[in-house]
Amino acid sequence: MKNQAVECATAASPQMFNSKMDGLLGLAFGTISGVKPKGVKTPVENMVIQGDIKDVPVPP
Amino acid sequence: MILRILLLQDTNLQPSEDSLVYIDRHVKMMMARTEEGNPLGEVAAENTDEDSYYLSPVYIGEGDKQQLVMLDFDTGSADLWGIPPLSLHGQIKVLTGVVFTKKALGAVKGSTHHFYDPAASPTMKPLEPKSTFRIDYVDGSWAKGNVVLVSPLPKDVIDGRILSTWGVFL
Repeated sequence: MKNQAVECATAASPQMFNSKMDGLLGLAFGTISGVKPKGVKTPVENMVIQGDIKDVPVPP
Repeated sequence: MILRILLLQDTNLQPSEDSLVYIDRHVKMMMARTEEGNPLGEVAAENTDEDSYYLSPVYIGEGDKQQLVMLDFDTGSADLWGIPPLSLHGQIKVLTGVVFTKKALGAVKGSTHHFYDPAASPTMKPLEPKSTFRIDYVDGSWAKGNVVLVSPLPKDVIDGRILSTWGVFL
């Protein structure tokens, strides 16, 4: 996979550190990406676009 | 199309019918990436903190530089984020103003976090234009920080050895 955006938290709410999770992996469409100024594609979207997974609609 | 994640219960590694959790179709697509040519790859979803959430192993990396993080798959958001080691971004601050050192972070409720270190990836580069992220979840939790681009090799086999059939490999 090429050019996958990975977001690196420098601050987070206490829940994130009190839990066992190391982070999240969002499966929704990248149109609701929290990256500014321009949203990024999710891993699933990149897999589709880059042909790693096939026979699925290309996300908007 | 219904896809499934097999849950691995702590006390019973044999998934039973009622331990199947059905979620959206994207998950199996990702699971399918775990094994070349196998359309029905699986990834463990570990029941954590009494059904609060499920964690799945995700490997980000290149060759022998795979980094494991335990991520919460969330069908309602679109951000992939982890916590970098303190060496990269200094101290991690939380909402209360408390500054967690790495040692303290590991001591929180006995948990041990896996840090994701983008600097350990040879292909890491900054996202242009310079970007930040902020994600707010419905339970009030949030995270924010910086963004990098990586081009991990989609390999789950290193030196002919399958690292895991239960992880998602980016």
